[in-house]
Amino acid sequence: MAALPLAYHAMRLRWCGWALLAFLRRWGVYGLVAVAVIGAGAASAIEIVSAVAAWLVLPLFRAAGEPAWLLPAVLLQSLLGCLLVWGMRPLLWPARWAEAERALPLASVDVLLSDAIVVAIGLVPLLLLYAVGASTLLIHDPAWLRPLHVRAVASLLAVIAGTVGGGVALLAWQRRAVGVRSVQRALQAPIAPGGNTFAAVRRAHWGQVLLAWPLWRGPARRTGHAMTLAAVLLCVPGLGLFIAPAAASWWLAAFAAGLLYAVTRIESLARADWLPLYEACSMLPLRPAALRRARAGVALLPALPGALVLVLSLPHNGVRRGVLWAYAAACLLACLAELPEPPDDAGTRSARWLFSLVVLLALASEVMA
Amino acid sequence: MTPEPVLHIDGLDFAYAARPLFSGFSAAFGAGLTWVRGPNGSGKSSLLKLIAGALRPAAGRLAVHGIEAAAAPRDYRREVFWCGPGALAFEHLRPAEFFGFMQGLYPRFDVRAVEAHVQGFGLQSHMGLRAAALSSGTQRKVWVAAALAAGAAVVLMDEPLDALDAASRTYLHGALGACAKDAARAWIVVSHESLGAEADAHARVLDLSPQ
Repeated sequence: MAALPLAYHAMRLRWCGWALLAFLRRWGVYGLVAVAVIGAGAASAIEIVSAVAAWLVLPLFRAAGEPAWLLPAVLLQSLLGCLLVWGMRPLLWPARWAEAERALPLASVDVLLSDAIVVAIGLVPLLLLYAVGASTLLIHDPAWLRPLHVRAVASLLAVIAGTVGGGVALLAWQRRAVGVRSVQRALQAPIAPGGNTFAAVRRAHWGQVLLAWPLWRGPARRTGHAMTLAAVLLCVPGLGLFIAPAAASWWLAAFAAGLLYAVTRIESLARADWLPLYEACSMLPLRPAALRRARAGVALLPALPGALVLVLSLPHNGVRRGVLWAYAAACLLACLAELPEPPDDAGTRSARWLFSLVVLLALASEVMA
Repeated sequence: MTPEPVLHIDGLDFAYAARPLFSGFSAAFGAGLTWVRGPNGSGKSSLLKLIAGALRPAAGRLAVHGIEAAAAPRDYRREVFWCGPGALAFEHLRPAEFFGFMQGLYPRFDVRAVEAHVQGFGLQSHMGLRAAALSSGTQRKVWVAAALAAGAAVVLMDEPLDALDAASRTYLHGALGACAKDAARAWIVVSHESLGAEADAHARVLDLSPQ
């Protein structure tokens, strides 16, 4: 047996490689579909990518000519990268390592350096896009950019530094927060009641125990957070429709796209969060179909307030009622199609998702006369 | 002459909200085996985590051979190895890689000893698999093998016998019997069950049962 010393950086890089492979195995097909869709509509996919990349850095380069806007633009653009790091954090440093890591003789500087390395690696696709976008703009060299070359490039470098720095700070914050949270979880542990302990035993319905409590006690807290966020955000198109009815088609399209994304995401989170609980329940006298239906309800529930606001905000005149009903039915069917049991493979899901999106957007554009 | 204790704990305070666990807890652990016992919730695992540095005490002083945890946390941790009660962390590593990682962190990590423990626990056929693909018992054996070979002045093992098969339990009983006679290092083990006849006979017992 050869036990070669393995440095902390190498261990972290192995994790990133391993997690990235698992991620690509799961989601890579979505990327391929997206590339195929983008490439199909253009004479040259490279031109499309260059244009999209240029749009990414355009606001920053524009702000380079406006001193008052430069700092906010750099900060906002850095924040975009930080959001990406936040989304990738399970790939960069799994929180479940926190306890074991704290017990290891690791130098803080090694941990910080490893964080910087994995963050930089995780950001490579975004940084490449920035580089492609900047090159595209500098090569085309529009008149407004000519006097700003140095400042624009410097601001892009500041964004890159800010993004990596912000990402490292996020990981460091998460590392500290995990410790605090684990102690807080223990703090919330029930204290043994005095007196008659059996008095505390109450009959509890399975829906309460397996559906409601997990949403705020765990293990489905993140599903609960996603449901709350989705419920709030899905009200925005309805409010937008109330304020600006002239753009009704856009608001309906936004609601449909948001609804489809929210249902898919919440269903995926709920499936992952409840899986251990449902496995533990497999020996209990419960109907699996009831648990499945309950989980589907969790995914659909956040859409209700948004749908209600949208209906109440619809203008009375100019609505094609037949198309509106078709739009509503398509929304419902598209959502139900995202809740299959057992789950479909990634290719089927991505194809169905894109098809549903196209149909919903087409119907949304036809609701208003 | 009484040998100098390896690990000193002075005035340790730690609480879970309204549930104080340790208040002014002091103890000195000498070389050999200390068997920490007590009912569920008495703080056995938390004590090990506090010693390891996985939990931060509200107050108190921890020192191994005079190296204080608060003053020199990295040097202190080099002298303390913790084998937790759950699954092996760093689940993407193969056992050989995990041992290599530990070898890089603990200066006296004994590769020959780990090879012997791999044989003893019958881990040879699992060395090529990632930890995530190993059963909970096999993961436990890997972590315990690393603990036995760590060479740290203080080795903490939380329920090391959990999920082990009969042959591995017998092997670990033997290894713990040897730990009980170790004149240089402190082995602190939390367990609800017997550590083996020899270890039971020689181990000091720290009982955390409420008075």
